[in-house]
Amino acid sequence: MKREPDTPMGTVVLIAIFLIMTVVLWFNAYFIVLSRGAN
Amino acid sequence: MSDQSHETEHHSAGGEQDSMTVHEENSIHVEKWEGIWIRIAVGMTVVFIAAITIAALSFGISVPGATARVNPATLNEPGSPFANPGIRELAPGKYEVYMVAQTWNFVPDRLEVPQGSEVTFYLTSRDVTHGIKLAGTNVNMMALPGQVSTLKATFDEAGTFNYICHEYCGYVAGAPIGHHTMYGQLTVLPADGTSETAQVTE
Repeated sequence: MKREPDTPMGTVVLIAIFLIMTVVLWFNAYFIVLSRGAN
Repeated sequence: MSDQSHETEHHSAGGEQDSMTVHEENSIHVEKWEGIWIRIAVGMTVVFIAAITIAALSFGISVPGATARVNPATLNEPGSPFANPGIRELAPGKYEVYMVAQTWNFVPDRLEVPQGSEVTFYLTSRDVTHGIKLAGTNVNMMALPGQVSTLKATFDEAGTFNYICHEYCGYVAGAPIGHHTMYGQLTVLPADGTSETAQVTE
């Protein structure tokens, strides 16, 4: 019987941190640009 | 033989179970976490593109454009707007700056405008590729030989803003000049005439 591989939870956690950091830093830069006004 | 005819052949020969087996072999199997990752990545891309579109259309944030071509060899000739680089007042509160980037300084390297001024920058390079970044503002563009880059900015806060070359443009071996010494300063004078509110932006 074929056994399903275990979910690599460590990798999932690292990817979740990576995703959160990407979104937070991206929107941080985005709102800094917006706060400086139009050009 | 096509997949369709292959599937039909199996169906007619071996019944429903064989047909399902063929379906599974032909479909792409996506793991659960892989599917989640794909959906998140696509969702993030859509959100980021939407945010940039909103910033451009609703808030007027845009990248600097190339307005014209200019011969870098004839920048000093009469008739060239870059023959006398500097700041010009077009109307009260409206200015234009013609600036030349060259190894290794900006001309002019000192600018003063009153608080609330709208300034249009026209920038070109006399020699190699340079760049300008006015710290603490959205003024950030390339200076390319042969191209006039332009960008408009409004300075609502009084203070002193340094501008630097952000494109590596070389140096003189053994001499204290080079890309790292290429900078200038823009001073936004307070509207009330005082200078106490001025602050230095690194």
